[in-house]
Amino acid sequence: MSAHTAEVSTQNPSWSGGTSPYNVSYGKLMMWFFLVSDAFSFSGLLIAYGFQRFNHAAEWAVPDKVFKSFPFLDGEYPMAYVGLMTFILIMSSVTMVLAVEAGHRNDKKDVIKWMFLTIIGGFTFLGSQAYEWYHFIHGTAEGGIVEGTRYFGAMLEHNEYGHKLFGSFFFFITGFHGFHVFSGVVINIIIFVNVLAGTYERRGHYEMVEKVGLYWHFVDLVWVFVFTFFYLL
Amino acid sequence: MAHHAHTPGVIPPPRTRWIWNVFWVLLAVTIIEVFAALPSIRVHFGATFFKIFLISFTMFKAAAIVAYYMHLKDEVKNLILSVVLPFILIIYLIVLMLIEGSYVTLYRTVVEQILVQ
Repeated sequence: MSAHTAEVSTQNPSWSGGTSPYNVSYGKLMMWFFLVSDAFSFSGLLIAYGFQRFNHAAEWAVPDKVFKSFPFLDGEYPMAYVGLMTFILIMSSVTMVLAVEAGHRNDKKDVIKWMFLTIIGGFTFLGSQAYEWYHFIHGTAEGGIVEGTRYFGAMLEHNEYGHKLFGSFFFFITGFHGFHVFSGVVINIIIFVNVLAGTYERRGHYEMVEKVGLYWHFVDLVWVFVFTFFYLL
Repeated sequence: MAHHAHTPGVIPPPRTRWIWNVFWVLLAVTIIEVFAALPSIRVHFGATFFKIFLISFTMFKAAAIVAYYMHLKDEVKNLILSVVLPFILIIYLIVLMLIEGSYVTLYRTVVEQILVQ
């Protein structure tokens, strides 16, 4: 009898039942699958952006000329501020991975410290994005001429920087990403409160921190792509 | 080691060197990207080369985040394949949109020419 079971399990141990073939908990697996589906949404948006940009290449806005303001400084610093935003988000990803690492060691004090810094990073990023939107919407004093009409700033229907779809895509894609960051911060705060309350200490493991960590890294990952396709290219 | 695991209240020291190593790589790649995208630097590249350069750097960054920060590298093969393989469909969509994009551009130029006449 035991020889028979041994034979079955050597054929394909992970799919023979009794254990998870993915070797992770249900919650973590579902988080992964949710992230895959969310990545598809963002891919669809970015591919649509690329498609329209390719079609209206001549009239498209030049990112260097749009995103060049820096808080508290006069003059033009193309890409400096979005570069800083990218740094902030990567930094908060690092603090998140440090929180997960502390969770593996059941180190409540370190989890609290790094989760707190992650939340601060998330709020900083959201503030930066609000600044970006403010400057994009208000535009420049001299405005810009698109298809014979002078426009000031950016709206959904038209903008001073170039083709009207540029503004629509900017608001939609960075808005959708910003909303992800916002929900990520909210979820982080909920988990942070739970850590403070000692919920995971009593449970014996900090897997919830790992799960929100996955989501938070995903938000960072999406920004890496938005940054390249929207600002750099 | 086993002794530590059974002692309540004893927390093993953090091992975070690898986290910072990955961070420095990500930071370096981002700085190179932003620097290369500066208007005065960008003009020295060919347009196609610049695109390939930026997209490959971005893919590298994405792979580093997923593999190390999201710990996908440490998961079993079943999970890795389940997460990574669906993105073949995204490559397919990109190829479709490239084909469709050049068609639409061609169509637009033809229509505009007719309208001018």
